Amino acid sequence: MNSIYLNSKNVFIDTVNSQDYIQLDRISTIYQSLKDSIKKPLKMILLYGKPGTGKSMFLTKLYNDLSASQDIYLYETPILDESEFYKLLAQDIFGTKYSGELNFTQFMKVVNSKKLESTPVVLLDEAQLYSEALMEKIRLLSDTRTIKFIITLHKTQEEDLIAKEHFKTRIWETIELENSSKSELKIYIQKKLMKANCFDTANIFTEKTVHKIHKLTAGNYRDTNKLLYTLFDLYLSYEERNRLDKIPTNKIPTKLIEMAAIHTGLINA
Amino acid sequence: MLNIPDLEKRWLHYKIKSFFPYAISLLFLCIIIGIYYFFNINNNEKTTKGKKEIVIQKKLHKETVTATKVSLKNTTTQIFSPSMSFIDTIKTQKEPLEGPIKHREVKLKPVKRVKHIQKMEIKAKAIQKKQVTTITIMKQNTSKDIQNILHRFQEDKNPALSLFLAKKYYELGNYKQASNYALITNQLNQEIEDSWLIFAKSLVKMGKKEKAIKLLREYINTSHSTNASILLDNILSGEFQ
Repeated sequence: MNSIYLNSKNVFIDTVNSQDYIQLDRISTIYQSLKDSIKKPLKMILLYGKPGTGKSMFLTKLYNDLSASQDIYLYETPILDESEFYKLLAQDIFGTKYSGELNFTQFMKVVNSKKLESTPVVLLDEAQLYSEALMEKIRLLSDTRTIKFIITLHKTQEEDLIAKEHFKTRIWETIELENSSKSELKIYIQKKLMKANCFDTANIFTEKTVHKIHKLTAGNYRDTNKLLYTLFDLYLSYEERNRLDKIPTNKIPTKLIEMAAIHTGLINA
Repeated sequence: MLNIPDLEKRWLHYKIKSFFPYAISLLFLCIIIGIYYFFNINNNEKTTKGKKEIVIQKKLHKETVTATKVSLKNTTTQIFSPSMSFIDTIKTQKEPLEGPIKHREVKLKPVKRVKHIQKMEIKAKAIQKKQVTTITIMKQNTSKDIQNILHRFQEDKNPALSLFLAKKYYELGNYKQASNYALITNQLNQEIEDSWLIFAKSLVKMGKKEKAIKLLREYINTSHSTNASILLDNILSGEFQ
């Protein structure tokens, strides 16, 4: 089936793919500032924000953009075992394979023995999942200036505390990612749809529709993706039941948005 | 594929639930407005009742005056003995009266009306009683009428009695006393229009035309009385002297 609703639905599948990265003015500015920060002799850069604000996407985009020109490593999934963490870094950065256990002291020996032309950049996503002990080792590693770390953290009260206490004195740059504004959300939705050649569905997003979506998702990208995925799934369901004539197709009715919100749990009904 | 009927059902529940606080607020607002109007209407009714009482008082008074006038005419045409003794005979006599007494029964009609008003729960009881007494003295001659009313007025400072006296004195040509009792009536109740009119007429009769005009103008300004306006016009045109 080649339905415009199916194509539109697939646009909003929640994946971290740098190809899906949408250029928004504010986000572009932040991204550029992050790129500039990497060039500076900073020990550590902290990227933080609420879940769904695009931190992972940011890291992926950065990795894809810089991987050709820079020694950069992305770890999307946290490596919770300390030894595994060192082993992975030793293998990826210094090309040294270890079969047995590798502790911090042994890893530091490897770091000091290998002289690199440029400082490698390590991108650690979901850093709030790392143990405090490992975070302390990462701090020590960054202090040696042999590896530059860019870490992302969820901004919660507790995690904020970790960020403050652990990295207060070490972090040279902090970048906060926020939810989108109404106008940004409209651009985000429309650009995303147009990127996938879904021009018809992109045009049905009026100010009122986006306002309603923003009210439900508070501008959170992940929630917006979820909501719009379900919304187009609803259209698809109506289409498959031959009941598309029951709903307007030139604009999105509030009822449909609310139904999608109920299904995704954004509305507790 | 999503379960559309189930989602529509859940959406309907959600809509009803979301409108519930508004419905409660609206209901609450309606109750408040209802209570407000209820008390407001009650207050208005009280005010209207007060006004009605005044109007009824005036009407009763007019009837009293008319009845008195009739009785006065009767006193001139018919030869009756003083009615006080006649009342005594009414009180003692149990048999139905005939002849001229039938005529008196007709005159007692205003009393019946007063009783009817009483049923309407309007505060006219006191007036009614006085009305009865007023009617009973109708059968007396003028001087005795006045004496009797004077006596009763001394006992009970009823503006209806003083007004009666004012009118009676005016009819008798005693304008000084007429103005005096009109003034007393006015002091007791400023809303009795006749007291103003009798006072003004008496002033004219006593040669105080300018004072009467000034008084009537002031009264018209406050009350917008048509009768007062007519009287003022008559005085100004010289029709009333």
